[in-house]
Amino acid sequence: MSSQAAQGNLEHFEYDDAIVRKFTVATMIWGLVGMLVGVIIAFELAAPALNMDLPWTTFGRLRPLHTNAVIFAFVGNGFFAGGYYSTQRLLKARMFSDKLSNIHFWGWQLIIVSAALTLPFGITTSKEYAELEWPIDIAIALIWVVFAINFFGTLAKRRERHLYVAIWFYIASIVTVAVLHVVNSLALPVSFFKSYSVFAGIQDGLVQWWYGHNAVAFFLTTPYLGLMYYFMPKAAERPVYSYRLSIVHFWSLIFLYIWAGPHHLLYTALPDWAQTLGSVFSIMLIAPSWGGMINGLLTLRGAWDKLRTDPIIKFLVVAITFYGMSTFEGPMMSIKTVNSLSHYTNWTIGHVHAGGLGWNGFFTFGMLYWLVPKPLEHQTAQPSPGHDALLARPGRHLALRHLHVDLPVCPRA
Amino acid sequence: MWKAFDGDGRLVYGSWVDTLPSLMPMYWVRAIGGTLYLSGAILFVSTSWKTINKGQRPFEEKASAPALAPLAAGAEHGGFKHRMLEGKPLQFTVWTTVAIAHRRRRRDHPDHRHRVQRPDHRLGQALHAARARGPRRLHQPRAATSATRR
Repeated sequence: MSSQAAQGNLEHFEYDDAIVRKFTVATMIWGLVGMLVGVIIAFELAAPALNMDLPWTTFGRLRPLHTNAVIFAFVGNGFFAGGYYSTQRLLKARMFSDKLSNIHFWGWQLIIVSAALTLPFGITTSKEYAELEWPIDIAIALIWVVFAINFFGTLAKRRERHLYVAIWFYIASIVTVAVLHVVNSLALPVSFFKSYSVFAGIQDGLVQWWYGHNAVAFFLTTPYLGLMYYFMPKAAERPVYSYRLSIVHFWSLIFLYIWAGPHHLLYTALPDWAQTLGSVFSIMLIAPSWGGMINGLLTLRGAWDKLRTDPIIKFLVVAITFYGMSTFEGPMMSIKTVNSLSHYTNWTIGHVHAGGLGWNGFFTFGMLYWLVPKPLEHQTAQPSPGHDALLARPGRHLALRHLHVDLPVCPRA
Repeated sequence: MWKAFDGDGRLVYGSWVDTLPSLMPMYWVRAIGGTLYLSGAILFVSTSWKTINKGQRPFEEKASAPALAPLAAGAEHGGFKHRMLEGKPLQFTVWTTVAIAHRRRRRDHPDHRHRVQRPDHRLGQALHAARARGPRRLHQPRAATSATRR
C-alpha cells in the first residue's frame, strides 16, 4: 500500500451503510413473507381445502407470489444489501449517488408490493418468474438502470485499480439480468393489466426459458458467488483459496450458463438439436460451478476448526455445499434419460429448493449474521491514528484490522 | 410409478392423477419441512432485528484511501492484454453488451437463404403451401405470395 500512497493523496470518505441497513431489513421482511406463502401453498397441496375456495388464495395464484417474493424480494434485497456493502469496500469509494441508492431501494420495494397486489388477483403474463404485467416490467427495467448507473458510477470513481472477482460477478449479473428481462418481457399491451408476448409458440418457450434459466444463473447464482467471494474470506479471515481459479471459473460460468435454457424444454416441440445443445451446455456447467464451490470451501483451509464454533461459517459452508450439490443435480437432470423420469415431477421443485433454501437462504443468513453487527463495531470502536479498531461481535474474538487493506484476497494487496 | 407398464405396454396408471394419492404423505412432509425452515428464518429475523435496533446514526463507516493514480503504460496488471480487457471494466461492459445484443439480419441467415433459393425442394414446397394457407405471421418468405399459389 505504501507505493500506492506515494502516488496519490490520501483521501478520507465515508461508506454508506444506511442503504445496506435498509436492504437488510427488506431482506428479512420479504424473506419471511415469501417463505410464509411457500409454507401456505405447501399445505394447500397436502390439504387443498385450505385455499378456502377463494380465487385469490388458490395454489395457482399464490405460487407465483411465492417464487417472485423469494427470488426477487428475499434474494434480490439480500444481493443488494451485501452488494452495496462489499462494492463500496472493494472499490474504496462511497456509492456514486445516495439519491440513486434510495431510488433503487424504494423503487424495488414498490415493485415488490405491486407484485404482491397483482398476482393474487390473477393479473399475470403466465411466464414463469416473469409473471408481472408490462407496467411493472417497465418499472423493473427503469429501477435496474438506476442500480446500474449507481454501480458503474461507483466503478468509475473507485480508488482501487484492481477489480476483485466479486465485482466482475456483480457486473455480469447487472448486465445480463437487464438483457434477459428486457428481451423476455417484450410484449404488446392490450390494456393496462394485459399484454401479449411478441414471441409465439416454441419461440416464446425458448425465449422464456433462456430467461428463466438465467434468472437462476444471473439472479440467484452469480450475484451470490460475488457475495461469497467477499464474505467467505472475510468470515473465515483467510485469503480466497485460488484467485486464478476464481477468474477462470467466472469467465467459463458466464459463458456456459446462458446456453443452458433449453434443458427446460426437453421432450417438447423444441428442435432436437436445440434440446441436445441445452443438455450439453448444462453438463459442461458442472466444471465452473464446482470451481466456485471448491474455491469457497477451500478458503477455509487451515481454519476448518471454525466450523465447530462459528455459526457464520456453519451457515456459509452449508450454503456452498448445497450450491455444489444442486449444480451437480441440475446437469444430471438435464440428461435426457434422467429427464424423462424427472420432468413434470416434484423432483424439479425439490431441485430448485436445494438451490434456493440451501444456497441462497443459508448464504443470506450467514452473510447477514456477519453483516448486521458490523455497524455496531464501528460505533463502539475507538478511533486511533491510521487504524480503525474493530471490536468483537458477541461470541467472536477481538480483531484489529487495517481497513485500508480491504482486499485480503487479492494477490497484490 | 408413473412409468409402470403392463405386459401389453400400456400404462398401469393410465391417468396422471393416479399418482397423486401416493404423493400425499410426501406433500405433508414437505409442508412440515417448510414450516421448520420458516421457523428458523423467524429466529434469524428476531435475533437480527434486536441487533439492528442497537445501531446508531449516522450509519456510516469512515475510511481513507489514496486517490486512483493514473496507470503507467504497461506497468502492472500482467501487461497489455489484461489492461485492455479486465483493466477497463466500463468499456468492456459496453462492448460485451453490444456483442450479445447484436443480431444478424434475417436475410443473411443461412436457413433463410436456403428456403428462398430452393422453393422447388419438396419439403420447401410443402412449407410454402402450408404457409400460404395458414395464419401468416412469422417467417413469411418474400418469394411466396398467396396470389401466385392460388
